[in-house]
Formats: sequence, C-alpha cells, structure tokens
Amino acid sequence: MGELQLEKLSVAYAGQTVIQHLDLRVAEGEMVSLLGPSGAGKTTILKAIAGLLRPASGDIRINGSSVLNLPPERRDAVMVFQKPLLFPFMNVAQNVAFGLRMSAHLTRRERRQRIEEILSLTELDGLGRRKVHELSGGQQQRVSLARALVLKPAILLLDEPLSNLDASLRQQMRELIQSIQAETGVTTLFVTHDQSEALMLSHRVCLLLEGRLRQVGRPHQLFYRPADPDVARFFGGANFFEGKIDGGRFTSAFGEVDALQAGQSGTVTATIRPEDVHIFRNGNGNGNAALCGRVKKTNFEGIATRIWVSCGGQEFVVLTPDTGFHTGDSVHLELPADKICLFLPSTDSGDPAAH
Amino acid sequence: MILDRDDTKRRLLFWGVLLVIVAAIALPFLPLFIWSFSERWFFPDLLPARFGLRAWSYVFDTAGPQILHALWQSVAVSGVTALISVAVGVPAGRVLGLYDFRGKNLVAVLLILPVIVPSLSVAMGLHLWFLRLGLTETAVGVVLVHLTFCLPYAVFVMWGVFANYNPDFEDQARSLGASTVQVVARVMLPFMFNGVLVAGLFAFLLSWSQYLSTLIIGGGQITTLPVLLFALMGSGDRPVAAAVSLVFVAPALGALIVTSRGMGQRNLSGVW
Amino acid sequence: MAAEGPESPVIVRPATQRGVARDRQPPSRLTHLLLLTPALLVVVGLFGGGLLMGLMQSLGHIPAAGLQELSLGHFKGLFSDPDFVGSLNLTLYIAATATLIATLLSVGLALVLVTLARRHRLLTFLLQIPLTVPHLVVAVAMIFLLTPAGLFARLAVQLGLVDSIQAFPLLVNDRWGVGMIIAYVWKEVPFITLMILSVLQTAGIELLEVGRTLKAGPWQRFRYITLPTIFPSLSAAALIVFAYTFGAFEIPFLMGRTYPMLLPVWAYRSYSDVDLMARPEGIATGLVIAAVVSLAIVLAHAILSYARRRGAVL
Repeated sequence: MGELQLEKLSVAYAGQTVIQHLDLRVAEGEMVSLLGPSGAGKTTILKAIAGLLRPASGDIRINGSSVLNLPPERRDAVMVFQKPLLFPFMNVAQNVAFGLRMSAHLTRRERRQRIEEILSLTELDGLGRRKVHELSGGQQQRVSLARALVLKPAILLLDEPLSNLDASLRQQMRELIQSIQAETGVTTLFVTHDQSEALMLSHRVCLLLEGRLRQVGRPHQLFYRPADPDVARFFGGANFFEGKIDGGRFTSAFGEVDALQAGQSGTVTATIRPEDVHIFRNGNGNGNAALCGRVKKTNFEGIATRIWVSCGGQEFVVLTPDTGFHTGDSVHLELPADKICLFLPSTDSGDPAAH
Repeated sequence: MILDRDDTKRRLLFWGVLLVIVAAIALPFLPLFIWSFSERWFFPDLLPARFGLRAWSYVFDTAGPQILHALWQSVAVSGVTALISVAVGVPAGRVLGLYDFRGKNLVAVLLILPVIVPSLSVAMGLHLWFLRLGLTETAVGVVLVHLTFCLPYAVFVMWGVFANYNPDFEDQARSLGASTVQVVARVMLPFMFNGVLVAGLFAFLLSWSQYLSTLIIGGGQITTLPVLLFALMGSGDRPVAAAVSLVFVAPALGALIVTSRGMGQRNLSGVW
Repeated sequence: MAAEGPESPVIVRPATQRGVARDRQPPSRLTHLLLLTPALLVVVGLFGGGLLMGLMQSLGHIPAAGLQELSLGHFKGLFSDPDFVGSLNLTLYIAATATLIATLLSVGLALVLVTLARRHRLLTFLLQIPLTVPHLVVAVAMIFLLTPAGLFARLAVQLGLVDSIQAFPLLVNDRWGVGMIIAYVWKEVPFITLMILSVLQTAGIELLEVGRTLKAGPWQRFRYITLPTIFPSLSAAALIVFAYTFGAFEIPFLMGRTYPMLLPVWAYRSYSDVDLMARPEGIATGLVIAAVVSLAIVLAHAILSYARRRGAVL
C-alpha cells in the first residue's frame, strides 16, 4: 500500500517539455485517473513515476520519500503498458512469476500459490501453462495486469490498458479492474483518453490539457462543475454565454443564478450542459423572449437527439430523447438555474485537495 | 544537470565504440595498402624502404588484360547468379512469407541445408554430373553451382520481407481498379524494393567470393578474380597479391556503398 | 521470433520468423506450388542431386571406371586413418573456438551498440564492411599482419617487445590455429552482431522497460529478457558461423599447417590428387563435412526443443 506525491514535476521528452509543474497527490488505496487527449503527455508522467524517464525537475515521492534517485527496479511502482508486452518466450504462469523471481525471495510453493491467487483474481484460472500467443487480446491484457499485481506494488500504474480492446470487452475489463482495485485496495494511477472510462473507474479524475493539470476532482465535479470552458468542452459541454455578477447574483439574457461567492463583480462566462437544457415546441414560451428560437439542425444519435437552436443571437445545443423536432421548427428553451455553471475567475476548483 | 551528464557519457561511449570499430575494421587493410605500394620492405622496418607503383602497374599493365578478364568473368557470373536468385526468390518468398501451408517446415529445412552445407561437398558431387552434361568449364555450370547456395539465401531474405508485408495494400489497389500487372508493378515491387536490393546484394557477394566451387566446376577455365588471386598468391609476390586483393574488395565495397542508401534499416547481416 | 510458434523451422533467419503468416484466404495449392517450384527445383535438383551424385561416387559407384558395386570402403578407410581423425578433431576445435569467441564478442558489441540508440546508423554501415570482404582477402591480409615477418612482428620488434623474428610467436601455420581463429572472428563478429542487433532494436527495448518495472536488475534483464529475445537469431547465427568455419577452404588452405590439415583442405587435396582413385575419398571427406554440419544443427535443435519443453526460458 502506498501514497504517491508528485511535486512540481516537469518532464521533457525528445527535447520538448511535455509536462510542466505538475502537483498531484494520490492517497493510499485511491484510484486516480489522468485523463487527457492523445499526446497530452500522460504516458510520460507514468514513465517518470516508474523511473523509465528522468524528470527535468520536481520530485516524486512514494510513501513520503523521494524515489528520484532509485532505478525503476527499486521503485515500489509497477507499470502496466498499453500493449500487453508479454514475454513471448514464457508461458502465462512464467510471465506472471517474472517479477517474483526477480525480487521476492519466495519458496517455489509460495510463489506458485501467489500465482494461483492472482490468476484467479484476474479470471485466468487454468491458463497458466498456455503460450502467450494462444491467448486472446483481453486475456493477454489480463496477464499483463496479473504480472504487475502479483508483486503487490505500493503504486500501480496503468497506461491505457484497455485501449487496444474492442468495446464490449473493454466494458468487462473496466468492471474487472474496478473490482480488483476495490478488493486489493492497491493505490492506482491510470491513464486514459476515454472520459467515460475515467468517470466510471476513478475516485478522482485529473484532467490534463496541454501539459498542465486543468482540474482535479471527483468525477461528478469535473462533469458538472468544470473549472473552465476547456474542461467543460472536453466533457462534451456546449452552450457558453456571458453575463454579469452583481450583488451576489449572476444575470444574463438567458437566466439568473445566485453566485456562491459574494463580493464578486464583473463579466463572467456561464455554461449549461446540452442534456440539461429543456426544449419545448412553440416559440412563444412563457417568460424569457431571449430563449425563443428556431431549430437549425437535428442529429439523431440513438439514445438522444442533438438539436441546434439559434435564439437571442446565440446558438444552443440541446440533447433530448424527444425525436419530434425538425429543422425550422420554432421552439423555446428553458435553462434550469441549478444546472447553470459559472466560471468564476478566482474560484479554484482545480485545487488538488478539494476531494 | 543529470540529463546532460548522461548525454555526455553517451557521446563519449559512442566515440569510443566508433574508434574501436574503425580501428578493428581498418587494421587488416593497412598491410594490404602498404604492401601494394612497396618496392622494397625489409624486416623489421615498419615502413617500406622504397615506395613505388610496381605492383599496381603490374596489375593494370602487364597483367591488365588477364585481370580485366577475371573481373569481367566475376561480374558476369555473380551478376547472373544474383539476377536468377532474385527472380526465383521473390515468388518463393511471397508464398513462404504470406501463407501457412502443409509442408512449409519441410521447405524451410530444404532451404536451410544448402546455406549450411559447404559448397565444396556439393561441387565435388556435381562435377561428374556436369561433366556428362558438358557443363564443366563453362560459365553456365559455375552459375548453376553458385545458385545452390545463393538462391536459398535470396529466398530467405524475401521470406523475411514478405513476412512483414501487408498484402491488404494489394486488395486496396485492386478495389481502386488496378489490374494484376499494375498491382505487382505499382504496389508490391515498390514495397519490395529494398528487400530485392538486399537479396540481390547477398547473392552477388556470396557468389563473388566463391573460390573452390568455381575452381572445381570451372576447371581453371572460368578464371574469376578469386581463382586468379589464388594463383598469384602462389607466386609469392606480396605487393601484387596485396594489389589484387584490393581490386577484389573494391567492387563489393562499392556495391555496399551504392545500395546502403537504399537499404535503410535493413542490413547485410546474412552474408559473411 | 521462433518463440512465437512451437513449429518454427530448424533455424531460419530471424527476419523470416518475425511475422506470423497471416491467415488470409490462400490462393490455390497449385499456385503455391507454381511459385515455389523454381526454388525447389534448384535446391532439390542441383543441391540434392550434387550430394547424391557425390554419395554414389564415394560409395564406389563410378560406372565410367567400370566400378558398379557399392561399398562403405572409402568411409571406413577414412575413419580408420588416425590422421583423418586428427584432422577432424582439429577442424572441430577451430570451428568451435572461432564460433564461441565470435558469439561472445558479438553479444557484448550488440549490447553496447543498442544503447547508442539512433546514433548507430554509421556503426551499422561500418560493420557491414567486413561482410563484403571475401575470406580469401581476409586470409591474405591476416598473413601480412600476423606472420613472423608481418606488421605485428615488425611493431613488436620496434617497440622492443621481442628482439628477433624467431621470438615472435607463431600465429600463422601454427599448432593451435590462432591466426585462423583471428581471421574467422574478424569476419564473423559483424555478421552475428548485425543479426542480433536487428532483433534487439525491434523487440528488445519495450520488453526491457517492462522488465525494469517488474523489478529486474541489470543482470536479470540480460539473462531473462535480452538473452531469450536474441536467442533464436543468436543460435541461428552461431550455427551458420560454425557450419561455415567448419567447411571453408580458403583460410585453412592459406593459413593452416600442412599437417594435420583441416578437413576441407584434406577433401580438396584428395579430390584433386593425380591418383584418380583418391577422388572418391575426397568426395567422402566432403560428405563427412556435410554430415557433421547437419548433425550439429539437428543436435542443437533437439537440445533447444527439449529445453523449451522443460520450460527453460531460453
């Protein structure tokens, strides 16, 4: 079990700084995801923690002590790579046993027992003597996971371990990883570009955009209380509009909200998620004339229909299960006040300690 | 910073390794160069008492026609051997690299044997047969005996090339309207270019350095460069032997330099 | 790599083993056969035919000389000749020693080169130079370098290490074949190195990272990751080198002693003897060479698959 701390970590790769001044603390038993688009430098962070890359500056601490000067083999952090990278010249059990043979001094029997346990935990019972090229993609990835878990590392680092699997398999694997993490309580930092994966699996999500941590928080927080418009956009947010804060109240053409922090004033941006906007037929709705408009385009997406509505010189995107809207229809919208989110300049929702 | 120190260490290592490798590779060439330009060289002097061009003028004037003839025979025999090897190697490599079929292991073993079994064992056996067929003392006979080991090599190279080749490109081209001939010419061969180059060079160099099998089948009538060099070695004239050795190395080295640009990551591993 | 499939052929160049044949819809069996036929014709017809003709002659079947009966006489004669057995042993010793030294040096060199990452394009090119130099030229150059009148001896005298030509150790035409071994090592180290290097570059680096995070130290990474990764191509390269050094003619002919001579020289001497009756004996010697080499491969393959079945990580 362990705790991981990254302090002002900067990492350069191929001469370019990929990560700058990253601060992050993963508590014991916690499952934290690093979420970001491909090429955001997520893997680089994991490699730096594992010791495969030397950070340009900053510190990495495991259980309170710096591991910067330890080679990877002496750090209590194990990385599972995106590709299974199983040793082709070993069978499944030998692959799983690898780390134990390298470091732990166990008797043959103890080792065998640990392997049995871990194989059953990863639902690989009875496959120990298989050759790795005889396994399916999902099985290979599970062996890769078992190979790391068997070492009972303080920190488990997962680098997009599910990205090479097809959709249905990925869902099963997510559930497996979730239950294994819950059962073993291993402190886990995992990297993904898939937002639903991050939201589903992690206790906390760290959103990484352009080499910087943009927001850290519980999945709900990032989804419903994004720190800035970029974060909101990353999670599929749309509908950004401006308003004024005055006397503890946000007012705009489209709606009003109580601002949490009094004493603020000035122009701020607000947003509301497409699925939170209510849409009604007939342009002449009760009340706010600014929210009357016309349907510009509709996209049927299965579970919901995405509708672009222009009203009050602004374009709104609405997601609704109602399939009865057509281009040109006149409609009116309603923005529930409790769903409007404000981007207050000094409110630091990116505080890592905010969980 | 630590990064810089690593980098400096690495650079030092690189230059160190480079120095050792260059020295080790150049060392045997050194006496060849000195001997070929020496006219009088006493023991234990490190350098000749008199430098001169006697050996080289012998190579280019006195023995010029003879050496030119040997050069031509070598180029012809090795060139034809390489061409046939590639022409046969490409289709065979394609089948072996792309498909699994029954008996593939047997084919692999059949191809490995000629690579392993020394050519002299084969050449001695073939001699009597070729004698009856009238192929001894002919260039055709020599090419045939060289093919026994050059061809399997070319097949192995092409096998490797095709094993890393994705034939889906051909299907794509076909669906875009390419005919079979166009698919081969415009899709497969461009992908194969480097591989074909390496296979050809392999076969050429293997054939180029053959001595004994050429002598046995050629019966002294097909005097390729190695056959001539052996004769000259017997005469005990060191400067001339050195000069001819260098003449012998030059074309192979030239072929390597010319093709190395096109070979990219592939290399000559496989020829010794 | 061979490790990818249990049915990998005896030894095959690593590149050919890297890709697993795709299971596409194959063209008809007939097309396969047609495309393979020319290659098989050469191998079976010329190579196989050559060996067969040789076998017939060495068994005493020479119709032109009125000899029709088959007998093992020539082979028996060879093996009852103590000189021949001595030659066989010496040839085995030289081939094995040269192969062993070249293999060890190559592994070391390849490990150093692979750490130099992208900078080794130039080194790779340099290493290919010895591959283009014919053995004959290597022999000539080594003679100029190593004989008692050679460059090294001159250098030793100039540096005062030895005071006369007699004091310089005999390195060519010597008892232990030192010169021959040096010549072979010079020639074969680049070959083996390049063969391992291409495997290390493609497969080695990622697996080594995995190994590091799985707590393998430097020696463990070499023993349990690098070695198994390069093992198929390393053993293939070593076997090829062994086979070549066992059956090559030029270097022993120019650098070896006249007694005991190495087998390839023995074979050629008998074959080209003025006494035509010695010819079958020469051919028989050639076949003994072929047999030893083939046996080495079969043996290596058997040991390897036995070790694999026992679960040894190689």
